[in-house]
Amino acid sequence: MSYKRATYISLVVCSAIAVMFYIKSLELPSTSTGATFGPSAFPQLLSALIVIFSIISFVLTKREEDEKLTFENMKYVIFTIILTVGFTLLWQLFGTIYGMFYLLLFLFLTTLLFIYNQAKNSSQKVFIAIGVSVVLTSSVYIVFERLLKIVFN
Amino acid sequence: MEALFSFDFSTLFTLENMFAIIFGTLFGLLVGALPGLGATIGIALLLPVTYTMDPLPSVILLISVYMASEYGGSISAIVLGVPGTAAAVATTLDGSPMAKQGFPGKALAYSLTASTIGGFAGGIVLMTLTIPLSKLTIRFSDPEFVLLGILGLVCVASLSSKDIPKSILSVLFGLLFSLIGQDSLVGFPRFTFGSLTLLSGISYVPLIVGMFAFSEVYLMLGGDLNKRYVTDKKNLKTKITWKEFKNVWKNILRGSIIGSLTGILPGLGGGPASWFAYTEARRTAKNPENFGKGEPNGIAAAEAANNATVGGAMIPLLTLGIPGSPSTAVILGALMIQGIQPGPMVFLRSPDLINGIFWGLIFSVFAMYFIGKYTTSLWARMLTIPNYALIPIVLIAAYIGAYSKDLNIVDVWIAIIAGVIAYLMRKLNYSLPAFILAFILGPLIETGMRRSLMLSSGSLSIFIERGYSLTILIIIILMLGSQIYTKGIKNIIDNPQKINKGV
Repeated sequence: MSYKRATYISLVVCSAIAVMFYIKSLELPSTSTGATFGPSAFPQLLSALIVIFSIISFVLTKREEDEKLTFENMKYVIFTIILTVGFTLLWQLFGTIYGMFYLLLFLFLTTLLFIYNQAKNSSQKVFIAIGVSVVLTSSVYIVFERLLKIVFN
Repeated sequence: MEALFSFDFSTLFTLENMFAIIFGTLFGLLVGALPGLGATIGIALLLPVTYTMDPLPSVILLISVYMASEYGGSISAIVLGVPGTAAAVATTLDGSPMAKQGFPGKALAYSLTASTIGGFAGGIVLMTLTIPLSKLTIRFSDPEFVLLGILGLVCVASLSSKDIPKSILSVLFGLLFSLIGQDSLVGFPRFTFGSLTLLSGISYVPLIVGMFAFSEVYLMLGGDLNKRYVTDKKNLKTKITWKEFKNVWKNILRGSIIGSLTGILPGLGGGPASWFAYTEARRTAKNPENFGKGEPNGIAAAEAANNATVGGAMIPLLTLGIPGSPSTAVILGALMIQGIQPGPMVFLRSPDLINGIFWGLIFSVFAMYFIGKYTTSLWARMLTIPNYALIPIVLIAAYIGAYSKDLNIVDVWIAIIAGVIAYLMRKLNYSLPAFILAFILGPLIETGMRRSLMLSSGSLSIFIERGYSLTILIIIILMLGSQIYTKGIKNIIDNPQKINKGV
């Protein structure tokens, strides 16, 4: 992807968020009792400045030479985000069951380790993934739940 | 200063504090040595451990991580030629060639000695400047704090990214997102979109964890997942002779001063400090042509500087309650979780804690030296952990770090979302330190500004009425002026034809 194009998209998103905050801030009182600078003033000022600096950045980016923006191993990044979201959702849904967090954590880590490992031997990959996950899950239990009294349900 | 030496050391030499120093040092060496991690992520990952600790050991633990990771970064920089932290990039220039010549242990010894002296120097600067500065800052009121906040943001925006408009946008977004939640003056909910969870605002610990640790995981995934660094365990004995030390002591001293002063400025930290020191060492050298080929002075200057920044960076945090870097922002978080608000008043309310932090920092330097000296080969061996195993470890530690502050799953969602956004921000050269510092300073700036304007009935003259605020304002103007001037000069140098043609 072109770096310039990605920058333009990001600047449009920045401006859109700023406009949204500006519109939401119109619902706030502009002044409060005894104050000359109410709760809406600062967000409005910031929103306006964001739009101005987005335009400045747009103009300056346009002048620069373009380069290629690379997202290496993007499939792994997306996979990791989806798996983390899935793990969190399942924990949120079934987290009240004691021990469920550790079961989900074990499965989460095993999947990550299996997918990340580039070795060709599948049985070796499974063995390493399960072994490391058991060690890590046990470490989380011992360090956080037993020693630090942080509970995950 | 008297209180400093009349400090009851028995409160420092407790089992919990000693454990904090030793464990923090070991962990700091590890995260420093592993390429991609570093002080901020290391401190953020250990934050949950501090929740059940007393205030002093919890801060000492994080300072020990901070201190040791600055030296730890040089281990991979020297042994592999891959800097473990941004602050160790300058070390690579001479450390790696010296290692390739067959003297990795010698290069590590220069690094460890310089880091130790730099760390001490930073600690001494912290001890000598903090008390007088706190006596000055206790006289500060809202206008001064507003302007100091703005000064911090000006520094971080102009220095933390090569793209200034994007840095400014990062600052503005940090400020804007800090406003989410209940308005601190009149209690009006702002931008909560009806969510009760957002009434208390976005918690900044999961935000920092997400922005730094999660995004780092995504960036690490972009590399070779099966990469396993091969290290030569031979010649890793860290020892230099007196004669060798005499050859580098001037640059260690110079690096220590540069690092301590650079650490005080918001947004800089170990990376720029080590470059400043390295450049200065080369500029003043009798043999500048040796730099980049394994020159000991190059290693010594850079390493002294990056460790000296630790003490310097604690100064604005303790005297003003304003963190100058993401690492000190996490330490601020640890203090606030313990119910301690750093700033001028903390010197009156908790003098033992402050003195304990001072001496704790000094002892963390001792620990770094001795533990670093005898465990360097171990950390070099740890570098053989392949990325496919390291990434899930960092990911799950960050995940738990985000959750465990309030045991709230919403914080995990914040960290995940922040991680994705920060990953894109880093790809597009937006500034994470600028965003985080603005997010932390936002409430201070807005509340201070509104209170000041209330007192002055809306007149901005309140910001120039007092000598203190006027001085800070002049510094801000000078900072901005120097930035515009420097960029203007750079523009003329880079594009002389365009300027001549009036483009």
